[in-house]
Amino acid sequence: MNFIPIFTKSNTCDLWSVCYPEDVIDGLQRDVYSILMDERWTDMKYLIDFIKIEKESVGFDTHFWEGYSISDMVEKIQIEIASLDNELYYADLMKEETTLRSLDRIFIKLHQNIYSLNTFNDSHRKARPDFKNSIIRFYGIELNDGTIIITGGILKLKLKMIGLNFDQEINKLKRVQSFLKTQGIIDRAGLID
Amino acid sequence: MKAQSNYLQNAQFRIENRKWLNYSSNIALRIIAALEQQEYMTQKALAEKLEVSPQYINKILKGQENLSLATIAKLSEVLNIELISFPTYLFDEPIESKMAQSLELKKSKSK
Repeated sequence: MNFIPIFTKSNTCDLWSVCYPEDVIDGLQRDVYSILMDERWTDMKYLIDFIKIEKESVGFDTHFWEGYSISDMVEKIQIEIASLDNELYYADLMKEETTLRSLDRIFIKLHQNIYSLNTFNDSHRKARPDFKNSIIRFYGIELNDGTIIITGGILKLKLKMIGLNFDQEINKLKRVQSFLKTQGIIDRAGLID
Repeated sequence: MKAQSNYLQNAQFRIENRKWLNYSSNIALRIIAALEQQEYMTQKALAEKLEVSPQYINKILKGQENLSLATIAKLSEVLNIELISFPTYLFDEPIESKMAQSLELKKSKSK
């Protein structure tokens, strides 16, 4: 497992992303944030297939999505990607100048969900675009100095956070947390070393 | 050695090229829908008809390809669907007769 700064140089970067060993292709490391934003969520074929499966699965929020077409949902995802792209970029790269949300306001504590009772961890974070009923979710871990490490993300079309996709995200959080602990990483300096 | 993320370059690319990427994804959605409706037309068959590789069709369906007008026209012909439509604009307005123009002029003067 490896960590890379997303937007800027490592000594000033507050937003990092995990490179999982299973994501290496032809010897090249790929970080989870880039995989989601540049490959998966911008791939029309992937989105269509994903929405179709979710529509038929247990827990799909039919009440909210009533009247939405598949293309409406794809368009909403694209708008959210563009918005979050912008916010995260400015929140990290131009943190002194931006009037948009800061990283600590974007990445809020992951406690208001059904996993809280069993998995509550004070350093776990979730981020979403600044829209009502947003689809995109990122998950991460906050280090002692406020540095955020993104561990994964999902497209939430269900009313509650239940199912395999959510379980996988919680497992990633635990996995990275455990790795950080064994490596003794508590802040950005630890990531750079 | 730790790998550097290409995210910044990729994010900048997305921001700078958002308009055509949006066109490309819209075209991809329509092609995916057409392929679902035309069961006989597989991605492989489409590639053969267009004389391109199946990998290129796969790229088009991702919605991240900067398609030429020639490619869009070929796709449109083969799939028998319209992939680009144009809204009505100034030159679409019908030419008014001289009498109608003069009536309009009188109306505006009398106001």
